[in-house]
Amino acid sequence: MNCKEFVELISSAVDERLEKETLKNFYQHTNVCKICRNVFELEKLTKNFIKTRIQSLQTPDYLKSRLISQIKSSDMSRSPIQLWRNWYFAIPAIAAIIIYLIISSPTSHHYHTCPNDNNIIHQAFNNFDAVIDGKIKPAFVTNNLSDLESFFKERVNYTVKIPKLRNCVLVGGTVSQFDEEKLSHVIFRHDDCIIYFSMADFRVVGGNKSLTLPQNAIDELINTGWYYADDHECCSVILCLKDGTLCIAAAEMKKNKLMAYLTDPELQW
Amino acid sequence: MIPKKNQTVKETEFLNEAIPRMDSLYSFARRLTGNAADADDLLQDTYLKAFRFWDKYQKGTNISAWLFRIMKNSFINRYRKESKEPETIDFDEVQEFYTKAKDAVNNDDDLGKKIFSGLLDDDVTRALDSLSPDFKTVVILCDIEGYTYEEIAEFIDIPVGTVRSRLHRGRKMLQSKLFKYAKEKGYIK
Repeated sequence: MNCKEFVELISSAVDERLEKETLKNFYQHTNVCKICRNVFELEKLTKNFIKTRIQSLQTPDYLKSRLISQIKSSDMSRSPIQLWRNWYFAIPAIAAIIIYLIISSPTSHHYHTCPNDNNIIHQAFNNFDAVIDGKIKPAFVTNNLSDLESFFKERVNYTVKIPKLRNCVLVGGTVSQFDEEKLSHVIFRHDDCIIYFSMADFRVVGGNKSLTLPQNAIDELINTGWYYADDHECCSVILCLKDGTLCIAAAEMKKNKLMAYLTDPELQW
Repeated sequence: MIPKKNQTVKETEFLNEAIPRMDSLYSFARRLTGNAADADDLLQDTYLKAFRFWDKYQKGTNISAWLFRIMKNSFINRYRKESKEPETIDFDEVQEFYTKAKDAVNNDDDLGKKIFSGLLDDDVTRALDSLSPDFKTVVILCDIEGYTYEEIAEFIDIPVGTVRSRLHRGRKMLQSKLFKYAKEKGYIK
């Protein structure tokens, strides 16, 4: 066996696919050619390295359950194909309308005029407006808390725990990026109003890197775990810390009412 | 299995046959696209298409191969156009790596171990992401998912010989990337 023939068989040898006789010739060549032996050893090391360092992944539960329910609800054999196809293509538009109807508030909305800067409180006010306007839509629509937590777990490198707010319906969530940092957005609905949460890694925000917080807010969060943003008319924003994650709750309701949701003795968070 | 109430035969068949294959398809999609959001979309596209065209699937044939082919076509049609081109492999780097390997052969039998020992999982993922989809596909399916050459050939509809040569070239490109990272980090000179 010459070097050219040897090189052509390297992958098969690494994957243990050579016949006994060919394998014997292959190994005989490694005894006489150190370069070929080294190239073979390197490919074997590469395969084993990839195999041990990159694991096969399992489908996240939220995705599996979402797909199964989509399949069940889209079984076209229950209706004529053409009709189903028409609906199939209409699904994104219908979903957008449903999301808009779910999250758009029937009451008139007061807009904030926060600067579009790095201050995460300003961003929370602006994002809250965007949620009400339907400009920020949940990428994952679900009323299941743990499914949404799994969704975030796949996308951000900090813990996102979602509170089980009394008498509120979870609408869904999405992730956005500001510079290098990822923000998680969670939307609840209660009667005719929206309760919106923005979450971020407190280590990043507290370190005043790309996302910032006023120093008095950082101090108060560290000391008490809570901070009330300056009141805007009809709208309250409350900041708190949960397992190292900064959670900013915003809603068009009085501060005391929003605080009551967040400090409900029966709240599971 | 007898269909449950309100469940059609088609739905039952599909759930029984296609859902157990979901993990390996998700894993492949995740490595191929490089991020969770695109992998979710790709898996969803694949399964909804597969369900829609379930009557085209020949019962008793390789269901995984059928699903992988749908996924491959979905990826080509949608994500490959949208996503930015992968970082191209510099063939000078590959050449440099082999020159280094040849030079080192007489005095350094542990070159490979030196390259690999200090690298992080992120380096490996980055190196894999740098491959073009054709090479990345065979490396993922063979080295991570553990499929045989014949299965891979059936999944992506190419001859077995092409699987073998793409694997060899893909691994060479990975070696050169890993060699570059190890050099940057000072594990090798």
